[in-house]
Amino acid sequence: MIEAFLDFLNYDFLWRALWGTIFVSLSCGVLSPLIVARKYAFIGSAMSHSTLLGLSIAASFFANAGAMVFFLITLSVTLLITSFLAKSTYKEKLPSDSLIGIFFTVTMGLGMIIHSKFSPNQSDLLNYLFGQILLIEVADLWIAFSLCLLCLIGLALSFKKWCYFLYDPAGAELAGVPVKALHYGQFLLMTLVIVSSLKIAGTVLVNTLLIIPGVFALSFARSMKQTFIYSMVFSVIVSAFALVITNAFNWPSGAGLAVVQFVVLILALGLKRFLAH
Amino acid sequence: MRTLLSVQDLHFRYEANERLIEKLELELHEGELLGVIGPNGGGKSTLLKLIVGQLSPIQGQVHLLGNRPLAYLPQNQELNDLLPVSVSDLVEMGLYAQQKNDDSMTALEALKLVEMDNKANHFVSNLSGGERQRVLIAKALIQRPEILIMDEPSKGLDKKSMDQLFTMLKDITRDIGTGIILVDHHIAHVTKISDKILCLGHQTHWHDQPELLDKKVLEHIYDCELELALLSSESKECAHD
Repeated sequence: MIEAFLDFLNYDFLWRALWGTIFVSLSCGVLSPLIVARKYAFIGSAMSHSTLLGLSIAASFFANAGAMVFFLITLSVTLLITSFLAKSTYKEKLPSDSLIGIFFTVTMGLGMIIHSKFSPNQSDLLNYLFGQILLIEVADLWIAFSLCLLCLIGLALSFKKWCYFLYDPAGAELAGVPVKALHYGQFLLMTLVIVSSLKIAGTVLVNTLLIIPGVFALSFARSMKQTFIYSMVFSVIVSAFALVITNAFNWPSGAGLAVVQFVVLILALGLKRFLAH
Repeated sequence: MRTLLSVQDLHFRYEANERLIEKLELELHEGELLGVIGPNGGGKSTLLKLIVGQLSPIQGQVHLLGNRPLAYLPQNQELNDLLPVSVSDLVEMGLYAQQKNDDSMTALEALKLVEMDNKANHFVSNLSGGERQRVLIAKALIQRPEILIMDEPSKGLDKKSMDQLFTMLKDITRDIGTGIILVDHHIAHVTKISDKILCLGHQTHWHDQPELLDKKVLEHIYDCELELALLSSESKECAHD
């Protein structure tokens, strides 16, 4: 186990993976309470799965263009797709489960077809589905770091507005809180963070990072400020720990993150229940 | 008494051939409680939305003559109970407004007005329906609004909570001079505490003496038979054909 820790000092790719995980998990920790409180877990899942279309286009036609181009192509296609979800959920009842289900399976299916027909490397798909830290480049770290800053600044500058919007959206709108901007802002941040997390967590498993920290925080926090702090702390510490575990046991990184986060959540909830009795 | 609100020649309809609000005139004064009653679809909530600016009239004007922002408590205000928000945190959310009043109360002062200061640190999710409604009123009052507009605040409350709520509203008009416009289906309570009553139905009626609103008059307004018991205690609207 100690060797698994030391590996992070000895190998550059693991060092990059560690920093990438810290930045991505911090961004997810900021967004997670927003997603859980607004009951957007399934929408988050639809968004992450729909990234496969953009990923396939990037992997098929821009395979050697570098991490930044890869990110921008995937982001552009995903933003186009998720703008539909953002529009259909603003001031409307949520689109039906079946509509979201159809939406993400079709975009995912289309991505698979494009990838199978045009991608020069047919074996890379599994890496994007479940995460592969070997793919992380320095440019990915800069992207993740920038998004992390964007999420933190976005939350800190409008913290009271976010709280009012989450807790009482109708009252917030009456009071003049820019609820439309916050709604679309949340979708934009979710898309940016999901696309930047793909190499670490994968399209299938990135949703874990977006849900579990928020569930943990809302189970323990006594105020809104605590909710966001607990979510960020849980997300960063448990994700970094999970990365060490995945390296020690040679698991796919996304799978390791999902399982370790879940186990820690269950242990925490069990401990809370035990102490309450 | 100072006039806080003046509505002149107000017309509004959703559909072309509909008769909803026509030639409506009203004034609200300092410390006055205006009750609005009438059957479903009579235009009560629509009138409130016109006053707060959520809807624009086809004709006529709404003049807010006060110096401070009005407060509006809409129907079915849904709060997200997943979040750990304390009573005082919720009341302080009332400080966020487009038009701010520098002379706002503290959360505790607002909670004292609705006799909820002893629960300032409780979670809103743990409150009863009546307590929650009181806290929402405290949130509305924190900026010392001159006008408080409420759409069915007694919805879902039991008899005791309802009695406490209506008594408290009357106290607020008397103690801090807030003018209140109250839409509610509980006719007996509304007529008991209101200084004047506006009935919106197939015709618009004004009643400056609520005590004269007897069974016969109310049945004409509601266009159906009302049980006497409903008019004396827990009145509610009769079913419309």
